[in-house]
Amino acid sequence: MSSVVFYRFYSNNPALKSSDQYISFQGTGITVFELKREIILQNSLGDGSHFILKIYNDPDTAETSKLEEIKEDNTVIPRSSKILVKRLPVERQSQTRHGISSFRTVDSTRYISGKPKMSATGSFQGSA
Amino acid sequence: MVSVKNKLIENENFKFIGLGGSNEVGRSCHIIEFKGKTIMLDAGIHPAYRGMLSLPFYDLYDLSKVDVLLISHFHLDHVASLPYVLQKTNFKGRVIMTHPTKAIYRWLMRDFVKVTTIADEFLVRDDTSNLFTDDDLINSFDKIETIDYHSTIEISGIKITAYHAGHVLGAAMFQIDIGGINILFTGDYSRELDRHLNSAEIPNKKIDILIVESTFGTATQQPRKTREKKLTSLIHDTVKKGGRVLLPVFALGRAQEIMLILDEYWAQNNDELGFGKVPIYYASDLAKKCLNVFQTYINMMNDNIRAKFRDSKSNPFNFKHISYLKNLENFRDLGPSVMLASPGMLQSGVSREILEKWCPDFKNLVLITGYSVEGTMAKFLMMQPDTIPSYENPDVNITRKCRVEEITFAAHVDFLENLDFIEKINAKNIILVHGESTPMGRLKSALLSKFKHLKRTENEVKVYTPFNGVTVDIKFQRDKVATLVGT
Ligand SMILES: [Zn+2]
Ligand SMILES: [Zn+2]
Repeated sequence: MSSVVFYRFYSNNPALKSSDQYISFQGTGITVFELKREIILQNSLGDGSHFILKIYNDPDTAETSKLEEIKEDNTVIPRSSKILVKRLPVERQSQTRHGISSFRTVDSTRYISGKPKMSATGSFQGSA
Repeated sequence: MVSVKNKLIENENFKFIGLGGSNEVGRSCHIIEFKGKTIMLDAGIHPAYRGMLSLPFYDLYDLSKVDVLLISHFHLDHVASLPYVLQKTNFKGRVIMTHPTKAIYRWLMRDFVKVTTIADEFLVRDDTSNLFTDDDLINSFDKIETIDYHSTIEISGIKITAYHAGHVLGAAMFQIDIGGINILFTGDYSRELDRHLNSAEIPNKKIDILIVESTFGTATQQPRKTREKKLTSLIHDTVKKGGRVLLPVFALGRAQEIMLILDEYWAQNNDELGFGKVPIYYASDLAKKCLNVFQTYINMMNDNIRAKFRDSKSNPFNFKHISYLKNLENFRDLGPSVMLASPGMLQSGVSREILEKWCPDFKNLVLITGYSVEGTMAKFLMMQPDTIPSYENPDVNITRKCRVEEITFAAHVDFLENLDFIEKINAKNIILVHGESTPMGRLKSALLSKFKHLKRTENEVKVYTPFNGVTVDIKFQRDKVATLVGT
């Protein structure tokens, strides 16, 4: 059986039909990892090195109107859900190793060429 | 007894967020917020990417909050995502640009959505990367309002004044007054007088925040005369030895300046070069169509070109020694010639086709005169590679033996011009944009050491070089108001 998850890019006008897009898959749900990968491929966003893709619960379906990021790669999004997507600039995180500080960039390449980051429960925010 | 009570009336925050063009050259787009007003500066695309990847990071900001969008000039890295903003997002604000920018935008964007040179320059027109249609474009055109140089428009309490920026026809700097705080956005600007444009002006107002381009960082340019001489003698030498010269150019803007130089040089060397001995071609249908736009706005150009127009009574952009080619089908490549062709960064299209044809011959010359963005073929060529990938078939490598030279006529300020301008503007807050990280960082250091003596004084100068998505916060303290209390 084929299932879908609906999504819209945050900047796209919700009143326009063309803003609503979807990803189809088999089964009752899709992991965040798979979903992000499919969205990157569907929108020809390349190898994921020029941005970070973040997904959020859709404010229409949430109890509060606050956007909540769905962070964990192994969280399962149930079929027929609606989510919001943001394409954001790569993040530069400062790090200090052996007393030398430098910057590490965080992007979305792992969705194309890497593996999901696993967290213990998939529903809590874990820090790696 | 009399005592003085200091009362702080208000503490106001100015915010700057780069959605694009911060620590990069391309997809210029910035948001500024102050006193509940929101202004967006430019809506460009990034020339090294395609489709959605080329857009500024519009998901960073709720565009429905924007009161007004100011477009600095018609280059695609400043304007080409405007139809997208107007048609696909919930942007509801007003859009302002100068008359010539609007006139050229119309032609450019029409070309951009069709499968022609400029479409190839930035986006491939297929189902996945077609960002907008002809209809989107026509609709967007009706929403654009125009502003004259030196005139002020007031929009919901924001006062906007346009000044000459040099750079290309129609380019504007915007001075924005929100509740007495003045912001100046330079866009791309130049301070040297060239053959057809006015150089950038210094607004006669106290500026609090300067948002300024930093393309060339701390690099300095040779004088204009030297560069012109180098250009003409390189070209002359090459054709004399039987070689061909390719000048990849963006269809409009700096190309017209290069043609003014070449046309004059050909006239001076008529015996050797003229009468079709060494033809100059310009493979741009678009440029031909825009000839009358350039004529229409001659009154916005400098005195030299206006005088030339008055004296000859003919369009100075209608060149004697340069012929327009609609496409390459009727181009007979028989001997030495000079070819101007777009796109300027050789990603695809006519200039790429000619490059692949001419680059195996050591006698030929590719002369880059514009700014080459990171990640494009023009930038790659500058490293003098032995081979280049074929556009049609990227697995095939083509030998590169031709000479590659760069002489810039990009019309951005160099370090000394930028420094001089920044000192004259005398703003306490400087936000650098439109520059790759390294040159931008160098410019920041140079500015900080220049203004070192003001450190920890009232006039301390702060320089910001934010990345896309990183907010710059500037606090404005209303002057402390001293109230006399008592008798
Ligand atoms: Zn420009
Ligand atoms: Zn630019």
